[in-house]
Amino acid sequence: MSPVQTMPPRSYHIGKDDLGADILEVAMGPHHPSTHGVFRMDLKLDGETVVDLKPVFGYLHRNHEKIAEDITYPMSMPFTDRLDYLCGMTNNWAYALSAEKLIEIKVPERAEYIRVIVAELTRLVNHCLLIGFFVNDLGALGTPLLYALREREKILDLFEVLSGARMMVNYIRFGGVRCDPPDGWLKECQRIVDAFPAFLDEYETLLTENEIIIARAQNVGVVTREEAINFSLTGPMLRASGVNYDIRKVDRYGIYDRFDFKVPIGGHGDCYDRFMVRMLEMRQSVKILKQAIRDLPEGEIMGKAPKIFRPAPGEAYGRIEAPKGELGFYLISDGTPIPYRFKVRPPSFVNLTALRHMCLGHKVADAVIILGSIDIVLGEVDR
Amino acid sequence: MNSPDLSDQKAVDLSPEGTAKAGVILSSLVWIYNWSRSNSVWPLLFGWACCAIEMIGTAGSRHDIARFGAEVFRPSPRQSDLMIVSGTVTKKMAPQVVRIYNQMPEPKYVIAMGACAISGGPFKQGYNVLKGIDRYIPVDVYLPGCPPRPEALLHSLMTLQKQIKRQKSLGRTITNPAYGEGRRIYPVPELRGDDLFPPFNPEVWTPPAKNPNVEDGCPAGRKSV
Amino acid sequence: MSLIGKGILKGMGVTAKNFFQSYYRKERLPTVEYPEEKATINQFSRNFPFLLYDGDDPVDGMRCTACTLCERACPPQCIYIIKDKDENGKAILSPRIFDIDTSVCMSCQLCVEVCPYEAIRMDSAFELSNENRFEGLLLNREELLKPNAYYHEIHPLEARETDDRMAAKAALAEAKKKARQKRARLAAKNKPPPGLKKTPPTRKKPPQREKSE
Repeated sequence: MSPVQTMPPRSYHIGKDDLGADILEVAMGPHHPSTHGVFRMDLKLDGETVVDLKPVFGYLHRNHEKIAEDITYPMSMPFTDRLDYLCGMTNNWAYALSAEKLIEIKVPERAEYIRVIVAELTRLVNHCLLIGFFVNDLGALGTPLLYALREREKILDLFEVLSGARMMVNYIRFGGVRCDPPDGWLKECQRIVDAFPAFLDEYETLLTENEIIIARAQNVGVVTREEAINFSLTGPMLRASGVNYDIRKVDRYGIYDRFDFKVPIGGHGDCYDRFMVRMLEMRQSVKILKQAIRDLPEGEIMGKAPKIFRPAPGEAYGRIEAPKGELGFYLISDGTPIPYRFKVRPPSFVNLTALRHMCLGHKVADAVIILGSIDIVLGEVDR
Repeated sequence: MNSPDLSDQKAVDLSPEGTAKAGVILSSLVWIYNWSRSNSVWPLLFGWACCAIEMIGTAGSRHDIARFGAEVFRPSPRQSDLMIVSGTVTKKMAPQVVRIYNQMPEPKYVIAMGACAISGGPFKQGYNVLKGIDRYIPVDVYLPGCPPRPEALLHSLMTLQKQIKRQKSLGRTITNPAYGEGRRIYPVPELRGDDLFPPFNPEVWTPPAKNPNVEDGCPAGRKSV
Repeated sequence: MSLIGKGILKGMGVTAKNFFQSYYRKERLPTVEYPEEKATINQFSRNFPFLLYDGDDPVDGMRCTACTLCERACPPQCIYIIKDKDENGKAILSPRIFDIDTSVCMSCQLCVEVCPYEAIRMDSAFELSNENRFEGLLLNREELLKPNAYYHEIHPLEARETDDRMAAKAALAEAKKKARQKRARLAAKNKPPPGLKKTPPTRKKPPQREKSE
């Protein structure tokens, strides 16, 4: 007699009460391939539906702020690279911006243009890589991510020629940038920027019309306009919910008022919109890059920065539109070369607060792609 | 904690005298065995921090870790041979790292990738950062850099392959997968208050001897700040 | 109503295009066969610092004067310097011990930027994986010292700029020295020493005088 026949006949009931099932608690992470690092979600599941979610972080808490309060202002610059390790350039810029507000240094024209160029290149790197990770979570294992990595390497080569390192660039300084681009760099940059739209076309053909992505991502993890504002979301997540708020347009830091570009806005606030907003943002970045490379003036690259950075007592908050949202550095000076308080306003940490709201009522598999669509980097969340 | 006897009598040594004694067939068997083992190292798919991005970059088409037979990143520790500790291990994370290491089957290897995994790196001053993962698990290859280039990771993988090819693979040795009893399992540290207990595992790590170069114990740079 | 599966087929077309073009288009197959081919580093790449020396003898030609500026500027504090002393116990301008812990270094290049003597530079060597935690990764003075020719080899552009800057500096120092000697000679001629000869004050004053000139 085979064991199958000895089993009692099964009966299925629909509804929680009939089954008498308890809530299942699942700790997803910190070692989980889809949590983008060392992040943990404590899920409470009814069947497969998420009824409660508690994000647990701190697994990568590296005391960035505390260390920065122990060393001088310029020494913190390489540490900011390690915050959001995909976008070293924008982190450097945000920190330099707040330090420049603290001591009021005038940044030369050429340095401002170079900053815009490297920041927009960083946005390209971040968005194309993030979309690769996002569809990886959806089940497109490998292929889109490989294409994204292929394009990323080209831009990282540019960064390496410019600053010496691929990721941890440490390139922007208080009052300018560290060194002038070497001969031929701009030409190469122009070539890569000109070739990028072709890659974007290919990427869009590959992904945007894919029925599986549409079925999995549309109407999943919806954040309405009001909720997005209440959660104080920023960056592509906020714009996917239909709020026209881009710090490049609102604050016009640096020289962003000189460029002609549009801000892509989503209408539904679901995962698919967040994915599409990033896709369209890359097109706008290419547009800005073309203008910036065309208009790059000759001249100095460093303003008159003091030899020893010792700001007067006071405070400053500098913010930029990082690829993930509003990245701000809040510095309080007490008149010494060491900051009294060093606070980072990380975009992915604040965006992560909406995770529970977005996941409730969805399936576990959807929780994974919702997390992927937020675009978190744990170095920035935990600092 | 059952650490097996590595100096077992039955083990085959690969020195010229040893191979001559063991015979040509057995020694070439060991060679083939080690060659195939070293060219199919399956790493664990787990990223800690910044270095993980370079690890993913190594799997990308430019550097293509598949050329070394190590492209099969396994999400489960039960299926992986190699743990690439790619980033800062904090005190909150260290127990999980040791637990994952314990779950890996023998033979298992560890590459400490990047400054943070080796010594805490730039964040070693932090109160929450473990000063090197080798305090709790044995590390086979140290790869300095912050972060190391993808080519450097490939180089460390080649270093590991050389190390594997030197190993004994027959008899009751730890590197023989057929010998199941000798799985290295180390005690999982516990986060008590603000520090890990025990502070290090004496089985795998001993505090280094005092650096003969250091005179006063404290580098001069700190005093001025 | 569009055909169901059209998007997936389109995407598969893209992957097929990538696959077939990888046989004849370089940008579709960018793999660098690293151990056989040269790695993709360029002359601006940086990894860990090293010390430069001029001439043939590493210790005699060492540019470093043990001013410890780099030690102070290093964010993770991975540089350790002890000044050398002569047999009388007087400090001389060279490091007896210069250690860099590559297991801590974050490759930030701040030490290079603060060095006034062009003595410390970034190396681009990256094949440093090691099986020894302490012996292999802690670099001492002898391991760090590398000739100027090596610097020219790895960073040609930067090395040329550095050499030009050093030559200009040396020429300036030479001119200053000559002017000082000339002044001293003139002073000696105009005022024959009556017996009291004080050199230290004249040595201290020149910088101020030069500014006024």
